[in-house]
Amino acid sequence: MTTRSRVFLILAVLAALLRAPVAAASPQDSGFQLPVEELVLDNGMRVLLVERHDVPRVFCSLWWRVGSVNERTGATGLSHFFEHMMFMGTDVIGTRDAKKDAQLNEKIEDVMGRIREVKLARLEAKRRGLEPVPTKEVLSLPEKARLAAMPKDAYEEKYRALLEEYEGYVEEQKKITIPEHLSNIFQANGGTGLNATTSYDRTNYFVELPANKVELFCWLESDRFLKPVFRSFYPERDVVKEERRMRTDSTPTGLIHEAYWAMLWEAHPYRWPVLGWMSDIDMYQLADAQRYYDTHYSPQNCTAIFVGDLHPGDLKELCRRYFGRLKRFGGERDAIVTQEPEQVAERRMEAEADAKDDLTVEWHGPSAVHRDAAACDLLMSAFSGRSGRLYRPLVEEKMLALETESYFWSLRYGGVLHVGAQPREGADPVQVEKAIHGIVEEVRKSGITERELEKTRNQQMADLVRGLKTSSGIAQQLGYFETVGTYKDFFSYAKSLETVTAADVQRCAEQYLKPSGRNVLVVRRKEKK
Amino acid sequence: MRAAGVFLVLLVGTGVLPAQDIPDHPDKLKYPSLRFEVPDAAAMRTRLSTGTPAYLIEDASLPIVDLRILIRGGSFDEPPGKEGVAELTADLMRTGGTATRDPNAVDEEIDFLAANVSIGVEDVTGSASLSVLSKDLDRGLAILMDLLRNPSFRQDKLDTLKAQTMDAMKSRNDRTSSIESREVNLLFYGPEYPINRLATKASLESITREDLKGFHASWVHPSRFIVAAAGAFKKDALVAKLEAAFKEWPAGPQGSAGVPVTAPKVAHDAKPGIYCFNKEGKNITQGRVTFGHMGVDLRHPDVQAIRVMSYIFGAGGFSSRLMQRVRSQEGLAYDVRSDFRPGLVYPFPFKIVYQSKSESCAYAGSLCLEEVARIRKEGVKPEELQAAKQFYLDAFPGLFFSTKMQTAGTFATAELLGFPKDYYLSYREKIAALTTEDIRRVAQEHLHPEKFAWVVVGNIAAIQAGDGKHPVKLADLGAVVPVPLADPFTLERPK
Repeated sequence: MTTRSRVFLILAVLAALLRAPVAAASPQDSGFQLPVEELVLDNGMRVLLVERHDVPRVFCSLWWRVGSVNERTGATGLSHFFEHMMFMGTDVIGTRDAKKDAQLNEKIEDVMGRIREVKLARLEAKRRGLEPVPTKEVLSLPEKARLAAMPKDAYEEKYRALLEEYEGYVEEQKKITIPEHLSNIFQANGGTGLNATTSYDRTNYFVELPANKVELFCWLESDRFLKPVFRSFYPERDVVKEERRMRTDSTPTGLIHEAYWAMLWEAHPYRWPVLGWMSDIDMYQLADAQRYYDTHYSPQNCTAIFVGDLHPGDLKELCRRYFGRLKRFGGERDAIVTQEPEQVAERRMEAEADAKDDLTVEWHGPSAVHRDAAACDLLMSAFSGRSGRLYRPLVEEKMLALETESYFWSLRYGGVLHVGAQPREGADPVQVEKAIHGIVEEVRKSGITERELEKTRNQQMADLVRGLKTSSGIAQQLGYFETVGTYKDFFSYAKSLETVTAADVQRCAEQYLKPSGRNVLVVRRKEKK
Repeated sequence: MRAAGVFLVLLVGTGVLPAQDIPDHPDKLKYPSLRFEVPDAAAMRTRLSTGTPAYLIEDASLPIVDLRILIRGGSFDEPPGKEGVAELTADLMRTGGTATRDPNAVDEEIDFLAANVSIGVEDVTGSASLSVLSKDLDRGLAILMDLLRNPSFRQDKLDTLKAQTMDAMKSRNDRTSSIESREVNLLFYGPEYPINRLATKASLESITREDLKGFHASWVHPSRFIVAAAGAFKKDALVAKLEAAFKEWPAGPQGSAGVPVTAPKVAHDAKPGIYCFNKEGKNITQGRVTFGHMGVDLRHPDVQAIRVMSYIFGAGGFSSRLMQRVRSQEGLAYDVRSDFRPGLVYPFPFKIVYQSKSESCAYAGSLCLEEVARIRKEGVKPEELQAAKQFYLDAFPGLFFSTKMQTAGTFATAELLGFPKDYYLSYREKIAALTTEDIRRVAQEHLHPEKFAWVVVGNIAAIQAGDGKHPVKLADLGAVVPVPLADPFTLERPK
């Protein structure tokens, strides 16, 4: 039950989490209640409270409306890295000597600035094709000898010296750092599931605490967002690189899916990975994190959500007292104005990997709070599951595939309508794709039946109810809507689920599932030589 | 505390927020006391007339019912040569139709009701689950009971399922993580232990409908069930429904009612060494490492002391020593931890687990070994022990009783697996009583560095080369033994 890691939710996990947005339906509609108490602080921060008295615990979370969509190229992944930095503490948390810590941080920053210059010089050499290139003979040496024989460039000595200087400061800083101090305090007070995640549109921080210790959350969270100190910046950069290797680089299809995703989004800032490009991670400086904080971490961009054994009156007072400390920054951040251009032609990528054959077909769809969102959910739901439109024809009748899936996955600025299939051994992925296109075209032409409409509506509504079984589930539903709109969009979503017609679903099929809007990824197993 | 609360409200009411309301350190916060009583298992337990125990908890907060039938027995009970039959049986019970229901009609009805129905099997247990809107409980329950009792295992569905299973088998060596988990079990339990009797192409091909029917007949019967349910139902009414469903069954396998699940003894000692599994690929820039030795099961008297020791050492997430040393201070891994959970029925190994870029795998490993030596020699500081104890004491309700369904499941599982009677009742007491001496003793008695056996998966040449900065090499940590990857279909290794 202890937390494993500061998770960045990979696409698939996020899809599972968010693809069926769940709303707080009104009691008269669906026979259950989710009373949400709302408070807006003077600084613009929003607070949502839901009482559940099953067990003396409270799920506490902060949802910041900032994610990789707010980044620029050159500093991709900074949202996620910033999330890691927020566990490093403040002047009070994380260090035994704030003054010395600050002095060391300055020295570290200075030497890292000089290291950055070396890195830039190396990039320049690479641009001109002047970086040292190992000979074929060296490359054919066994690994150990090869590493030793790799040619060094003109900067090697300087670089080593700077690195040594840097490591000296880091060693000094270690002596006064209290590693994972924030986590230690939460856990030593019975905090479970302590973690944070970063996605395209948002960053959230959460922990579940004993009901009598919610004030601890208010203290630590308001402290860290009021005056964060970005210590252990550069060791943590290495941790994030390891995270990238684990999640993306060293998995069979991680790099392929990343490249595909960048093809799917032509212009929109959704196109780069939440984890960031490796070359960008390598260049972050402390000033980048500071600028990021100054731009995005203003309280009007945050919603605190508490669910559990709480007393709304007391907790509202705590929120005013603690989170009222956060200063609203002047000015507004840049609006996201880039519109994904209407796709002019089908796009395809074909790749080989140590992985099962796999086929993905995706189209761009509406945003999570678009009036078509519910219809798109029902549409993609009609394709999904063992009784859906894809499984039986593809898997059992034509024997072309082993599994099929489909869903609508929506973000703040757009969505993705997804169909996937795993071709059967010996089956040609092209045939699988053709069969999928035929089934999709049939729905575009003739729509879905009234029974399918009722079935998919039942499924979406039941998912909605199931999402409310746990405190963290409730917080996730509310938090999701707070980052794509407001929690009140729950109600409009639930209402539109009730009122979507088969004609709406067919119109969405026609509008969104156009052949020219297809994005196709084919992964084939790499055959051993 | 109430008085303080009123005071604060008044202050806020006037819009004044004096800084002294916020202490300058979180350690100075004062909390009201909190009591949590372990829910009364006996009060929620019912014994059906078939002898089947049922833990049922009414919860009308959502119009939904969750029901889970735990089944005694699992893949450990597969006949030799028929490895894979348990999973095929469970999967096909769900998808292969019944005597009176066409499989496609079952799928359609489950989907139309927006129910979740699943049947699964693990090592020594299985389970069948239903989640359904309460208005559809009768229809959902009727389907579930029919699937459990009268599966027809249709041949065409079996063929599809076998093709899917074979495809998954083909992927056994695709991910370094799947190679790692398979080899870790093999190393610690030995090839003879049932956990390592895995399906092969040959065993899969030899399995027929008759084998599925046979496994089903010996496995699925109310005398081998324990029911856990929570949701919008009336307890008496649900009891009546279950009674009605179960009493129709003919007499089942004898002698299993009320007997906790068992498993064979683990009679294997991994030979110490560093077993290296090379994974080809330019993108394999990170190595995956697991090392340790066999550990204990839940009946061991030191279980709670080991739990707390492991929390401080490496299982306590960000609060653990391994995480702080290897990740926070050195940036060598994103994920590093120890796992010394006791086995629930048979012992589990003690493991240290991390992933690091190839060149730093050995150095990261040497730091883990230093931490093992340190906790064995020095034990833990009183404040570390205090924090770990407080974690378990405070988190206790959230770990086992956070929802009504989790509570029902916690007690049903404890009965099925034969946990000590007072396991949850004495859980916190035993934690609270621990001393630093207890922790030092279990670190010395249960951590044996001389027995450590390692599984390393990745670009082995790069991992062996080291980082060129720290002198330590993989070979300094133990005897390096390269092992070829097993064939995914036969699980045999090339000579």
